[in-house]
This record gives sequence, structure tokens and C-alpha cells, in this order.
Amino acid sequence: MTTKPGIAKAIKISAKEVNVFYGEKQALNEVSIDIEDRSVTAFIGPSGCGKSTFLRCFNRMNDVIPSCRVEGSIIMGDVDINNQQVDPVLLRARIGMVFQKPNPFPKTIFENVAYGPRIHGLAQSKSELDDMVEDSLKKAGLWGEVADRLADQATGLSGGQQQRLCIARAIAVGPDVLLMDEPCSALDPIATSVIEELISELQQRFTILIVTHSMQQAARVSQKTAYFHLGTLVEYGDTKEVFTLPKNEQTEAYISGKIG
Amino acid sequence: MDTQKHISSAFDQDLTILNDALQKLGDLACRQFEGAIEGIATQNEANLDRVIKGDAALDALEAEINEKVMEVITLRSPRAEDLRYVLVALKVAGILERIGDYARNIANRTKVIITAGNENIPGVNIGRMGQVTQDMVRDALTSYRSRDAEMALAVWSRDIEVDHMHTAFYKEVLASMSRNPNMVGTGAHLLFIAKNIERIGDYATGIAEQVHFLVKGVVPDEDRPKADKTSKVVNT
Amino acid sequence: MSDLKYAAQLDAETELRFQKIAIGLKKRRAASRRLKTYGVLAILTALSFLVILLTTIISNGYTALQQTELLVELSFPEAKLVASDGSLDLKKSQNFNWDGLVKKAFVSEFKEVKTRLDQRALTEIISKNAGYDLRRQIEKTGILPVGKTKVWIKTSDDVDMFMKGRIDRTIEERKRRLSDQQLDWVDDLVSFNRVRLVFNKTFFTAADSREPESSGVLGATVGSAMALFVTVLLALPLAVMAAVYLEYFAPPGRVTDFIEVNVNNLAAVPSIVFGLLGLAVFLGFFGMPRSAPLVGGMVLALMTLPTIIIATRASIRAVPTSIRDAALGLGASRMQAAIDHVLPIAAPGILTGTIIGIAQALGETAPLIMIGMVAFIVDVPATLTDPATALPVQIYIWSDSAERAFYERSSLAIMVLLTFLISMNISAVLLRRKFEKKW
Repeated sequence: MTTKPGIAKAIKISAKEVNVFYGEKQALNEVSIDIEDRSVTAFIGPSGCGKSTFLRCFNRMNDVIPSCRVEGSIIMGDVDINNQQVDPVLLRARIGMVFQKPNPFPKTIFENVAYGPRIHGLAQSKSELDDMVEDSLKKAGLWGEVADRLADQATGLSGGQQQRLCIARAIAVGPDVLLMDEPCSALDPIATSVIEELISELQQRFTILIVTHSMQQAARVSQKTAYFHLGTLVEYGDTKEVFTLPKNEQTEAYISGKIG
Repeated sequence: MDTQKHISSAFDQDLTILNDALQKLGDLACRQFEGAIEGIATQNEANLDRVIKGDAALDALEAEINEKVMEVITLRSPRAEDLRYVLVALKVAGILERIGDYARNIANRTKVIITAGNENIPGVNIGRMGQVTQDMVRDALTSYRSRDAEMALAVWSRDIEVDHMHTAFYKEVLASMSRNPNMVGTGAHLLFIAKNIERIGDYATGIAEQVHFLVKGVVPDEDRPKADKTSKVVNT
Repeated sequence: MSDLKYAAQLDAETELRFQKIAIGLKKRRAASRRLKTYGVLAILTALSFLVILLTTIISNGYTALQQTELLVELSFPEAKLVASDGSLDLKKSQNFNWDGLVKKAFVSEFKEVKTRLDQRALTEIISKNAGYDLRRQIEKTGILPVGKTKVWIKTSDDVDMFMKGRIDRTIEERKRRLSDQQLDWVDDLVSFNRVRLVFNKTFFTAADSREPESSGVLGATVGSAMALFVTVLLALPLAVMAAVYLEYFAPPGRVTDFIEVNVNNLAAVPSIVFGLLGLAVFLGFFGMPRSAPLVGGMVLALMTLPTIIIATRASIRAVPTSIRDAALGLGASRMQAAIDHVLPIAAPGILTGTIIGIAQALGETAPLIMIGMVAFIVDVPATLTDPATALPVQIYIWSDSAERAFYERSSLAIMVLLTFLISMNISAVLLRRKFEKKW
């Protein structure tokens, strides 16, 4: 049944007045949002509305783009992620990312999952590393399919398997937040369903932010939905409400398929 | 449909078809009810027969509307206002079909009364009750057409009047029946007819509630004022 | 055109459209046929030039693979060469007049030659280094043969050329390098089967020499190899690191743009400019040894650096950004992402670029001339700081000289150089294919 508005979850990340510029062009405008802990929050909106840009602010991936400037604060715990003093390398050990097109490294399945723990020095011994890899693959629902071929090349897996491998790879580092940028857009419907099911399991352990083009998907997997339009956060609320009774006309128009 | 067009024109067409069908069903139901009430007054058997036969058309149209709603849900994945519209259409169609059934029932019973030959029908009260209820139904449908939540609320609160009239009529008929045992048969039918009209009034408020839900996204909060005390009446 | 009519009935508009397409199609086919013809012609032209080039070189050079030798019978004076224990005494050997031994033995076989003038003319038939060669031969074995021994010694380069048919008998004696008398003597030797053509081992085992018959490319080849070794050692790491820096670490701005523009332009700078730079900086300012492969390698490294940087940058850019994003997203530092993921994938491209750059450097003459690797070096260099020359420079030197024999040798040296270049390019292609399959 529905959760009554009275039961509020803890806030995991709080973004305040975030502005993002690519050179002169402003991509995000005074975006403020509170992300709930251990829930799935979906970012929806038409192409170019800034949802992916906003997602990338959470793990400072926008730093990689030279002309990109991020203003505002993104507070997790008592740390402002957007502060230049914060080391993005450490940040990304706490906030993992899964990308649109599955991008496993051209190495073995084992190596893919082991890379994160290895560079962060999380495993003291080979057997510990083995355990971590197995654990992550199990959590990603892939262990059963690859347990006997960990030394095979990751690129030999199917699209859906590769994406689950990327999820395993991300969670191997032990983050508490997962950022997913249209994780299913390159997959067929069945692989998509598998990943969505995985997301609802993962949600018990991780805070998940997912950018999606598919409103159906947002409706299926998320508890909270944020609608972006031309760089502005237009509406943010419980998914059920946003999809049955949106407060904003623009949201209504987008959701009903009246504007692209 | 005053709102913006959908990108998918097929979607707009489907909603228009649905809307037109509901209009038509609404008109049919109103006319059936009017015909039945008029029949009580005029006692024109031919008209009553027409009402009785006319019910099949309502059933058929309601079935069509159900089909159409299922089609829209499957093919268009309606959300937000579209979803509410479609669900409301389904419910209102069902209500209108039942109003039609009651109208037919009233016509049937009226025919029996006429055949029995009893002229002593306290028709004035029934006529007035029928009139008020007819207005309620028509207003409810108007509020649906124009998506007017205020009008719907007004209809919603008028039902109490019908309830009062019904209770009064009920007592009158009981009194009549106890005075004149010959009238019992007719009286029983009259009680049913009155009950049907009262039920139609309830249905009208049901339509009004759906209109409110369609526009505001919630059904009216407060408990509807009710005054139907017939269940408590034993004898006059 | 029956293949255009799929449907049984076509309306007028579609008919017209198909007709237009059909007409256009004829023109298009004609145009593409013309284009193909031009392409084939261009390739044939290029190929024919290549064939002409190769034919010229090979026809000039293949004879250098052989060396004319003649047989001489002599006996070694034991007393002057042998030590007390019976083995060859190197000190005595050093002081011994080997040249005289050979000449005397040779002349003695021609009883009719009496005058000094004639005798001198006769000894011109044998190589001036014959004595030296014999000495080296005996010293290598360490044993002095007893009694009368038959030895094969090299003829002079003029006789060598005559035996290979490069000297025309029919022209006037004045214009010839060999007099009629000398030719008669040679004919005599030939008729007695005392002349033979053997494989020119010297070409591949000796360094440069004044006499063509004693010269070889080993010195130049070793010099080139050493220089290229230094080039790779310096250029590859520097170029890769520079490319990684420019791609991933350089902050966008004027300075980076300036560096990039310069790197791209340096690839087009004439190589002699690098030679001048080497001359001024390495030799002049730092006082490094002239003609050393070390300096040659450093100059060539400077020259090859832009090529490898550009190839590396292109290879790095060809790596999909998603791989780098994935690595960074996991918390790898930019350096880790570059080394663990990007460079291994870019490696085939970098390798190819390096090999091509090295192949280019192998053929460079001008900068090496500027830093002095054009000297006449008779020893095979042993260390990086020994004076040396390089293969293309050696070719240049030989092609400049008067002797006909050097001309054929320079053609053979060109063939050696071309062989190296082709094999390097082939290995670049093979390596690339091998690594690409893996990924």
C-alpha cells in the first residue's frame, strides 16, 4: 500500500541552489533537492533538460569536462561534495556510477570487479579479494551466470549481463549511493526488467539516483520523482502523486505526452 | 476536452470518441428517466413500452465504453489527468447504465399499476421527486461535461432534498396502504418506484463525486449529508 | 530497365520518377567507372615508378654481393713469424711486411714481367689491402701454414669491376682504368682458373675503407642501430608522457594551446634544423663528442618526438571515453585511469606510431651530417660515444666517391636500408593486427 506522507525517511544528500555552466551557457538553474536515504529517486525530463548533468554533479564527474563549472552546495553527511577541497577520488569510493552504455573494461570478469577494491586497497589478501568479488557479483544477481568463468573476457557477455557486471563493479567498492545514468536504455525489455528488479533489491542497501527517459520506468522503480525542464527542477514529489496528480502544469503536460 | 493536445493524435481521437460516447449515454439515460417519470403522470403505455425497450441501447453503449476504456489503457498508458479521466469514464458509464436500469424498472412497475387500474396514485409527490432527481442527474452530467467541480459539489449536496421527499412519500404510501387494503399491491410498487428514484438521486451524487475526483484528484472529503430515514420507519 | 519495375502497374508519376533515376544512373555509373580508371592509372603510375626505382637499384647493386678473388701460391717465412713455442707471434706479425710477401709471390708467378714499371702495373691487379687481409686471416687462426700454401686474395676494385662486366674493353685504352697489358694478365689468370667470384662477406662484416673491396656496411649499420636505440629510449617515454599530459592533465588555456600548436608544427620542421640544434646545443654547449651515436640518437629523438606524440594522442583519443569514465567513476585517479586502462588499449596505435617514426629516423641523413656523423670511420663502433656513421650517411658518402666499385656498393647499401625499412613497416602492421585481435 501507499506510504502516507507522514513517514519521512532520513535525508541522504541535500543539494542547494546548484547552478551548472558549460562555458557561458547555463545548463542548471538554482536546483535544490533533498534525496531520501535508501530510496530510489528518478530524474525525468525531455532531452537536454539537465538531468544527466545534475546526476554527474553528485560524484564530481563534471570535473572531467574542462569548460564545466558547478556552483552551489551538495551536502552529504556534513561534507559539501562540491567543495573543491574534497578529493573526488575519495568521493567516488562512496558514490558509485553506472553508465548508459555498458562499459566493462576489456579485461576478465574478475578483473573488472576487482579493480575498484584493488586501487582503494580494500582487500588485504587474495582470498579477501575473491570474497569481495563473489559478494558483489551475487548482489548484482550475476554470480550464478559467471561463477565458473571469471577468467573470461568481460566483453563476451551479453548486454544485460555486462550492465549487471558494471553494477557489480560499482558496488564492489562499497559505496552508499549509486548513480545510474539511463542504465537500461541500451538493453532489451527483458534485460531491462531484470535490472529494474535488481534496483528494487539494491534499494534496501543503497540510495539510488536514476536518470531515465522512460516514464514507465520511473514509475516502476522509484519512490520519488523529480521532473526537470530546461535546467530547472519543475516538480519533485512522491512518484505516485507526480504521475497521478502533478502539482505543476508543465509536469502534467510532459507526463501526459503533451510536450516533448 | 479543453486541454492541450497530445503529441499522439491517435490518443486525442480515442479520448474524443470516449467523450462522445459518454455524452450519448448520458443523454439516453436522462431521456429514459424522463420518459419513466412522465409515464407515471400521463400513464401512456406506449411511451412506457418505449422506455422499457430502450434500455438495451444503454447496455450496449456501456459495453462499448468499457471496451474503449480498456483499449485506451492498454495502448496509450494514460497518466495523471488522462488516467483519472479514463477511470472516471468507466465508473460514470456504469452509473449511467444502472440509472437506465432503474428507469426501466420504474416504467415496468408503472405499467403494472396502470393495468391494475388504480388511479389513486399520490403522483404529485412522485412527480416532484422525479423532477428534482432529473435536475440532479442533468446537472451532474453538465458538471462532467464542463469539468466544473463547484457545480458537482452543489449537486452532491442536493441529494438530501430527495431523501426528505422520499421519506415523506414512504410514510404517505404506508398510511394509504393501511387505510385502504386494496391499495397494498399498488402501494408496494409505488414504494419501489420511489426507492428507485431515490437511488437514482444517489447515483447522481456518485457522478458528481467522480467529477470532483477528475478535476481535483480527490473525492469530496466531508461526509455527504444524508437524510434517508426510511430504514427506520415501521409504521406511521 | 526491367529491374526497376517490381509492381505490375505503376502510375504515371512513379514511371516518370523511375525514368529520371534510370537516366541519372547511367551517368553515375559512367562517373564511377571513370573514377575507378583514374585510380587504377594513378596506382599503376606509382607502381611503375617503384618498379623503375627498384630495378635500377637492384641492377646496380646485386653485383656488389660478389667479390673477385685470385689465387696466389706462397710460403710463409717461419723464422720471422713464429714464436718459440711454434705458434704465431703477434708482435712479429705486426712488424712483418705482409704486403711485400704477397706482392712478391704474385709477381714471381709472372716470369715474363721484368721491368719495375711492369711489375708495378702487375701488382695493381691485386687489392692494396691484400697483405693486411692475409695477416688478419692468419692471425685469426693463430697457426702459420707450413710450406707452399695456396691463398685466395682479393683483386683490386678495377679488376673486380672488369670481372663483373662493368669495364668496357672496346673503349680507348686512355679512357680505361685498366691498360691492355693488365687486361691480358687478367685474361691469363682467368684461363688458368685462378680467378673466382665469391660472396662478398666483407660487405657485411667490415666498416668503411679507402678501398672499395675492403669496405662494408657493418660500421654504418651498427652506428644506425645504436643511434636508433638511443632515439627510442629517449623519445618513446617522453612522447607518451607528453601526450598523456596534453590529453588529460593540461589545463585548458593559452599555454596548452601554444604547446599543442608547436608540437604539431614541429612534425613538419625540416630535419636539418634539428641537426643545427644538435650542433649548437649538444656539441657546442654541452661539448658532447662529435659523430657519436649518442648525439645522433638524441637529435633523431628530438625529430621523432612530435611524430610519436601525435600518434599517441590519436591512439588515446581513439579509446572510448566510456572506459575512462568507468575508471574515474570507480575512484581511480586520472593517472591510474590513464595507465591501467587507456594506455594498454592505445598501445597498438602507439607502437605503430613509434615504429613508423623510427623507420623515418632510420632514413634521415641531414641532421646526422650536421652533427658530424659524416666522417670517414673505419672501425665498427663499440660504445655509444665512439665515432660512428649511419647507414644513409654511408650511402651518401659512397655515392659521392669516384670509384665505380663504390657506386655498386652504395646501391647494395640502399637495398640493405630498404630491407630494414620494409621489415620495420611490416612488423608495425603485424604487431598492430596481433594486438587489435586481442582487444
